[in-house]
Amino acid sequence: MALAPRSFALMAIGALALTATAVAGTRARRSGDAVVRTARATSPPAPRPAPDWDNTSWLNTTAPIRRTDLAGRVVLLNFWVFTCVNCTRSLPSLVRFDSLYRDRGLTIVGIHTPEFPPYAGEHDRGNLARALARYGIRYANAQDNDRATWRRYGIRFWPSFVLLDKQGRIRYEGAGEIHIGDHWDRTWQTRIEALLAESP
Amino acid sequence: MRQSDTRVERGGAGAAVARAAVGVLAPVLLLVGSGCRVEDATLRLVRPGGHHDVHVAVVASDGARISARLAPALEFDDGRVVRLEHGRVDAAGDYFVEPPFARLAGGRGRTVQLRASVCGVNERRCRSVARTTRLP
Repeated sequence: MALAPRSFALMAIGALALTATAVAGTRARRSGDAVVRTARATSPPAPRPAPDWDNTSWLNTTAPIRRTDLAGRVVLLNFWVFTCVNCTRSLPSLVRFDSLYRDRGLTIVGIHTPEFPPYAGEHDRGNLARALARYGIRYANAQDNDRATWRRYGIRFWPSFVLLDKQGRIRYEGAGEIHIGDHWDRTWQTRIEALLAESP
Repeated sequence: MRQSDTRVERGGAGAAVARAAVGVLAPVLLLVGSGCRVEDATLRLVRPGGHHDVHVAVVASDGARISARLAPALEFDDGRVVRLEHGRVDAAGDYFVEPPFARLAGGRGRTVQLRASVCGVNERRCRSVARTTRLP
């Protein structure tokens, strides 16, 4: 009993250490993807199989595209919506990647995922078609109106990017606006080129 | 007594350490708690006074911006939707620079779903925020 205060002190210090660890972890998660992506940029996570998608409504393609149709190609999935500022500002980079690398084995697939319910107009195919024309997008886009593909990939932010290698495995993931020539544009370009250089 | 004194002295030192530890711990726990509250309170509805008392506006917490490309919405149980689309926006028309509002007389205390696209000032991405709240 005489040592109770000391025990209490030790317990308090232990709790402090645990709390500090938890706070550090929380901060790391919140400060976010920049940290995670930086780590991934230098030490990519182990590749893992990419989930399939089965969206039925597509634009800029004559038939729905399946993940298995893209075996042997590097695939960049872009989760976006035309009402998202960060998404539309990123489109010039993606259009440029498409023009630079399509013939070398890159397929960009837009996964158009609404933020709001249908009353906001994001679910409307015509509105999406007009957005694709406005931004000069030639690559295929799927309407993900029920967010099924969004959920399968565990996406949380607009815009998000998932880069698959030629074997259909997820190699890089990230979220956030990119501009032609900025750090993230160069980072994604480097990643694309690295995967294109790999053997099938 | 000496032993007792010693024990008391030890206890006093231990208690002092404990007090110090708790003194440090409490703010940390408070920080964690307030962090959670900040996360939960990204948006709040207000009803500005004066001649604007028929308006309802949505206010974002510091460090968050509300997208003007996708005006916030109030969704009522009866299916009615009111968009908070009035308010000054930045030069590019991307974000509201003052709380967006809608004309909405009455309905005080009524439960609604508030929905908005929120983007951190220093982030390059947006997230959808939807929360059930009461009309002020």
